[in-house]
Amino acid sequence: MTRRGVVVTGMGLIAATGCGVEAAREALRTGRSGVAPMEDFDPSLWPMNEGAVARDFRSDPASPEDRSVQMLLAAAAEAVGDLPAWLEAEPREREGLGISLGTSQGAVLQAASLHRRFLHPEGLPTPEDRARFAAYRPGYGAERLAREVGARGPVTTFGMVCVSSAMALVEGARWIRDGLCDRVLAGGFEAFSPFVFTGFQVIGALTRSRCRPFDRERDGTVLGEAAGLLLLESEGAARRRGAPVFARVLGGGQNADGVHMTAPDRDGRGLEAAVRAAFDDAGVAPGDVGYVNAHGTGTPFNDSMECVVFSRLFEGRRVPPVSSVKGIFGHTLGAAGAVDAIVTTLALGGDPLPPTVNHQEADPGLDFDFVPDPGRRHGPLRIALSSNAAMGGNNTALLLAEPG
Amino acid sequence: MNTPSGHPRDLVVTGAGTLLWCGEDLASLRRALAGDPGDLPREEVAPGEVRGVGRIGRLRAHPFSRRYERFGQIDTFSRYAFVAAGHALDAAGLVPGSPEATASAVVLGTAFGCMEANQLFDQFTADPLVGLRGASPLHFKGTLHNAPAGWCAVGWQLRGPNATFVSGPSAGMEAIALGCRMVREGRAPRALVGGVERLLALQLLMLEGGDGLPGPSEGAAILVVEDADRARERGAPALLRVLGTARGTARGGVGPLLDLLDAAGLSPSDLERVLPGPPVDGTPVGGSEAVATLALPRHVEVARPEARIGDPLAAWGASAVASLLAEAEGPVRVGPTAVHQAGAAGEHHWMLVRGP
Repeated sequence: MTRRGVVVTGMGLIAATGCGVEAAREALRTGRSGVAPMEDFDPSLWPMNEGAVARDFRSDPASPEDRSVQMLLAAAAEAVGDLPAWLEAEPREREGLGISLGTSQGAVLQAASLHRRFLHPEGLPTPEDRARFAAYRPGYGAERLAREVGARGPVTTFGMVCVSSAMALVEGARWIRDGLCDRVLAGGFEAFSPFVFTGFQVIGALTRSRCRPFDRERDGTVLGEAAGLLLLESEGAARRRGAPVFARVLGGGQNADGVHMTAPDRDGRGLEAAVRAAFDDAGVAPGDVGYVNAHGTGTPFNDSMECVVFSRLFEGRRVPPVSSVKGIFGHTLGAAGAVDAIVTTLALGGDPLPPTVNHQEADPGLDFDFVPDPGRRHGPLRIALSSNAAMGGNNTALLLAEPG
Repeated sequence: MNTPSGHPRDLVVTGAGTLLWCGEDLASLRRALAGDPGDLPREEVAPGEVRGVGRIGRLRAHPFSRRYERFGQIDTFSRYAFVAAGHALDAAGLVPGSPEATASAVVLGTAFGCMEANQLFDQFTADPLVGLRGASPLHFKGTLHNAPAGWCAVGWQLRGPNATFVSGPSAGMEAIALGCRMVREGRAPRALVGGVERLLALQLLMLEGGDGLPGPSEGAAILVVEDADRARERGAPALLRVLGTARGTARGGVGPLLDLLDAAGLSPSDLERVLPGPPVDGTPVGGSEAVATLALPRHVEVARPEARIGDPLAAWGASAVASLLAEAEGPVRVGPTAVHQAGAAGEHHWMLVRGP
């Protein structure tokens, strides 16, 4: 089977930083965080009452679509750019567009309302209930997006919590590389919900102060919401329509911890295996990597685990700059991998390295460069690693390269 | 676009485990296919609303529970997959914790995922004061769609690649295809692949069956797909050969199957058996209609195991393959057999197998 080059030719993002990639780019340059007190939550009831909500995105309450799906469609419109118009003129190319998405909870707000109404069913569903149920399955968003953009290639959804969209990117790129289709709209979406907010509160994963990845005083993460999409194309498909190339996708990997359902393996063996699989897949060596966009949730265990892994991976050489954008975007769960891939792509295009806001001092003995300073310029950046880890013991790694 | 993926490495099925409403081993599946115990049980899912549903229940005090109880509470949805995986490992002669077993991948699919745990946990969400006092972190960890694959990895010590599809009823066939690709590409020596479903009253009320359609059923079905050389090295008998998997929309959905047959050096007239999947909402052409367009020769048998086991949604594909194993009571002596599942996005998913 022919192995084809895969490039990123479009990006779309709805997040706490605003609507659009440009808003995120500006937030990354200045270190402006999208985390703010939650307007809909009574602060007296919650030990932690902040979140990175996409406040600039006004979802339509009259729409039959869940807020998460509305965000998804908006991000997709930005990511595809003029592709739909081009496909209109090139009908033979329509067959080759696929959709590969990830989400942790999908249409979580609509699902919650149905779950409450039918906890103890007392009668038959109304037409309104049935309309909401149509969007109930976590795979609905990808099907809806496929209809929206006229995708006729493969359509799939991964449900792997915090690595969902990273997995969607890894596999979407494989589809193109292996010749299964020419283009894939890949990424993830996640809406902020009281459901997940409560869950993260009770498992003690949220910060009581600020999300400060890799800081010795870190005490938890902060939740966010986002829809992030990347348009992946084969090099040939991108050339055919004269699309701009923002980055190249070199390869990816994934692996399980198989140790605990909600806590990472302290030794990080699963993440290390995922990253090494990505190196093998891409045919690059650790020394080729100039920047690492880490998962960096700001929880004590996750960040320690990642540092253990990076120390081993780059053993004998200086660890490249490592940063996390959770302090800016919040932890967007099913969209996190896509957000990370977008900010990494921006850095590969010459933007400043994504900063780790709120980071002040690393754990004793760690001399990593966690990029605490926003706006830092850097020299030529050829290859970057984006890694993610999730509850359920899933780990992913994605290797991206400069446009070339 | 058709997406055939022929397999340069020979792939074989070396084990299968099922947990369906009719029982949790291939013998019970064999009996169900023969008509015992018969139709799906009837259940009142709302006052006055009775549906046929293949229900399993909460599966308390299962012999396998010792494997996971030390990790704390495990949700019912995950238990189903855990039990099926245990049987699949056992059937394949894989000992949990052994180097052979530990390197295995786990790839599962589910249409509805962890919605039972979500509905349970959501009761605490409605009121933050109740939530913070009443919600349990043990419940919250069940609110992950990847919980079954995660529990299989944790409890059975399966530390290879791990993935979960939530694409709808075809998610199980996608899981089979990705697991096969992982083995074919050398990413794992073997993969546990299949699907799992746990159904809520809400879903049963919404899933309206038509005349002649199977009622929904819950459960899990998992296959062990393995590199044939690796299976031979460890002395594991091949029960089935996997000729390939494919997906697509071409030619009313049968295009991918035709490509698969072609890649295997076969023609439609070589097919001995087809197991078309149950119809799926939103799919313009159901499995039977797709198969009909093949103009198959008369000797081809179109088997409908779902008439006996119900429609286990994403667990369908692995259940269908398991039904072949159950009938054979050992290595399957059939020629090329196509397993089908329609996807909610209009795609058709195919797996082509034959006896070893």
